[in-house]
Amino acid sequence: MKWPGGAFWIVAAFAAGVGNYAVKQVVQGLDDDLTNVRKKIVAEQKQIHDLTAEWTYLNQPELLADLNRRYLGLVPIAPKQERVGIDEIAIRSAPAPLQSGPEIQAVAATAMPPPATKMAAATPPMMAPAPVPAAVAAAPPPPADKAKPVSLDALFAQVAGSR
Amino acid sequence: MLSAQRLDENPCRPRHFKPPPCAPVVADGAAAEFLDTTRTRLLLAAALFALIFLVVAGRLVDVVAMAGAANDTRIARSHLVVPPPPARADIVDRNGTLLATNLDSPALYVDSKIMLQAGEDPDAAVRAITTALPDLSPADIRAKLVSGKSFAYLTRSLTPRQEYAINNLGIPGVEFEPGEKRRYPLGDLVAHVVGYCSVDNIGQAGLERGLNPAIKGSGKPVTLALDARVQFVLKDELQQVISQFNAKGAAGIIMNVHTGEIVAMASLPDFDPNHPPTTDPKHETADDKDRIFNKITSGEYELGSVFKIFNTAMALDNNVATMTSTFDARNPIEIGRFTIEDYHGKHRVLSVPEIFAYSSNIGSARMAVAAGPKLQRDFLAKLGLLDPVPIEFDKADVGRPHFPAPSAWREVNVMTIAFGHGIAVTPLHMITATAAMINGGILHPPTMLKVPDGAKVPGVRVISQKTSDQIRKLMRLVVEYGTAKLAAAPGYVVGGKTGTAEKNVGGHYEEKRLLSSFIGAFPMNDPQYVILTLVDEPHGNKESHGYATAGWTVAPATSRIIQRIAPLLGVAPVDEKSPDIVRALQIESLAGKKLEDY
Repeated sequence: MKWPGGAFWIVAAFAAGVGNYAVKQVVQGLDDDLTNVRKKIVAEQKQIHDLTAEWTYLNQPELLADLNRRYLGLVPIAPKQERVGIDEIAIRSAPAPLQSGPEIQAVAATAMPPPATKMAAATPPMMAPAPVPAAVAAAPPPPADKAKPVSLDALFAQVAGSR
Repeated sequence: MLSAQRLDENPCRPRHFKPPPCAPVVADGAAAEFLDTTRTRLLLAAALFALIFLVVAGRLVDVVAMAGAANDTRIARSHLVVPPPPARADIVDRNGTLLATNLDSPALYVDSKIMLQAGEDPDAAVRAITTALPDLSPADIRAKLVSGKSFAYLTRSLTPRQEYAINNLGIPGVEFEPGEKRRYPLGDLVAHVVGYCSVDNIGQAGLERGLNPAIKGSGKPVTLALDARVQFVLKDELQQVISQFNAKGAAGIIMNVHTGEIVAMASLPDFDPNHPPTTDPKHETADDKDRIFNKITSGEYELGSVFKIFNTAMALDNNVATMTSTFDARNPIEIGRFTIEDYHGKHRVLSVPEIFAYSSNIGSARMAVAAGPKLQRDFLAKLGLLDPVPIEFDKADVGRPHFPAPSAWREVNVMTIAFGHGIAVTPLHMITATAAMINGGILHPPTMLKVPDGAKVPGVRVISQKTSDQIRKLMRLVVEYGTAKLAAAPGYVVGGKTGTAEKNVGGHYEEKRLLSSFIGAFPMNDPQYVILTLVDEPHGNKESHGYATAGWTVAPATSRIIQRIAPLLGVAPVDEKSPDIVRALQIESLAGKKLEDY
């Protein structure tokens, strides 16, 4: 065999050997990691299983019923409460903009369905704008303060808007 | 030859040394040709090896540098760490609530030899162990510690906390043996359904016994049709009936009429499957027997008037009677040594709906006589009332019906069977056959296992759709005007039939020892669920005006159960006065008439 050819094969074999060794090391490391992770998973699954059993034990309907009697006093749903399904309840329409002047407020009040109006009426200090001098009312409305919703309706509207 | 000769010609060469030729000697053309061939072969072999090494190197580069075949998980899969499968699979309810599971529970044993060799003070060890495990007897432990034997169990199961405490003691020779223990987190709630296991993890009762091979073999959780929430409601209300009427026991079962799935089954008194009562004949008490007995699957009862559902269906389906037929119920029937009377007799000729609503024994007996023994027997057989019910429980736990032999099935038997006496079946029979009466006429075998959504449920037609519609109307009539007005639950269109049977004790019926039962279904215009409740030896009280009959005991309980479980089972209430529902349940012959109150 001639020298350059032999050198090539020696180098190739050596490189392959080193490469193989390196890969084997890496793979072994990964394999150990994998085995460790799997062991942890199995241990955790076992723990979850034990905790599920404990959770079920602590959630015995009899126990919950007793706790309810003592602290909550909840009662089963009466048929008359079920006459209307959750899907049939109309979504409340968006309330009037908070910064609105008196004339927009009036329009919003007529557009709102009765329960919403009731709600609005129930929270007059929040909803009804304070009487303002004519000069201020004529000025452009100040931007709504997003950080501080003024009523529940406004909060809902804000959340709905941000989605 | 040349080189060899040259060596030989060396004068300084020692005489004894004759080196071998160091190169092949080419003698002639043929030898040279042979050498060439060999060289070519060598070259080919070297090329082949080079190729193989190149492939290996190429693959290395591919794996390391190019992350080749990243999805190839053959190597990773070859040695997975998997937890050993549990000795018994979990049992869960239809919503995934755990009903039975195996928890690690090591046993504690002592190797007395090691302990004594280590020079441990037995008394100190006993004190330490009893502090951690106060349930054990100190004398017993001491005896085991000093026995000198190399193995003695101190206890067969430890909780993780106890295991930790004992381990902390560090007593030499006190060792743990890994083990699993079957646990029932819901305790007595599902006692009779799930049953229990022996220390060696073998099913002893309930589904643990009936499904033992499936639970042991698969490792996958067994999903039951049972709904733990509905089960709680049923048990809670039955418990109330027992305390309200000072009864001996009670039982109830709730079934889906379209699939045969049993969503609740309770039998009281019951037991805690974590600490089952002994079944050892030497130590078993009457109370143990009573608690471990499942009235629903094993109890064979003469259920009384609830059987009139089948009697009426038989007459209507075989054209023995129509809804407008009438039967004479003016006078009691004297036959042999029996007298058949009505509990609240109307003493007049009654139509079929009236016989059903007032629960007339006389009318029912006459209807059955018109049908004859053969028809009656065949009809009951068709409903499966003469064979054990096919269900997942062990055969030994499923009751066999008692009824007269065909040759002894005489007229008196025909009459008494019409109102549920002289034939004893299990409540499971009763509910299975009743479901077929109201679901459109298809008999589905009952099942404790959840039926997957959309799965085809086996079933055979036993009565026509028309007869089934009529039975629905009759059962609704009983709640509207008849013996079960207290079973009404507004919005759920309840229908049903009461049965108050005197218990047969030693061959004669005892007037004061009743078995009151009510079978109800809802909503009657489109039945979804059927409920059977029964109470064993109730005693009348002030609220029930001294009555212990079904109409006063289990019928109101059924109303309460329905109101509590309907929202859980997704049955929405309806307007019972709506024209559609009124029309669907109106009996034509009674249109415009009001039935007199029962």
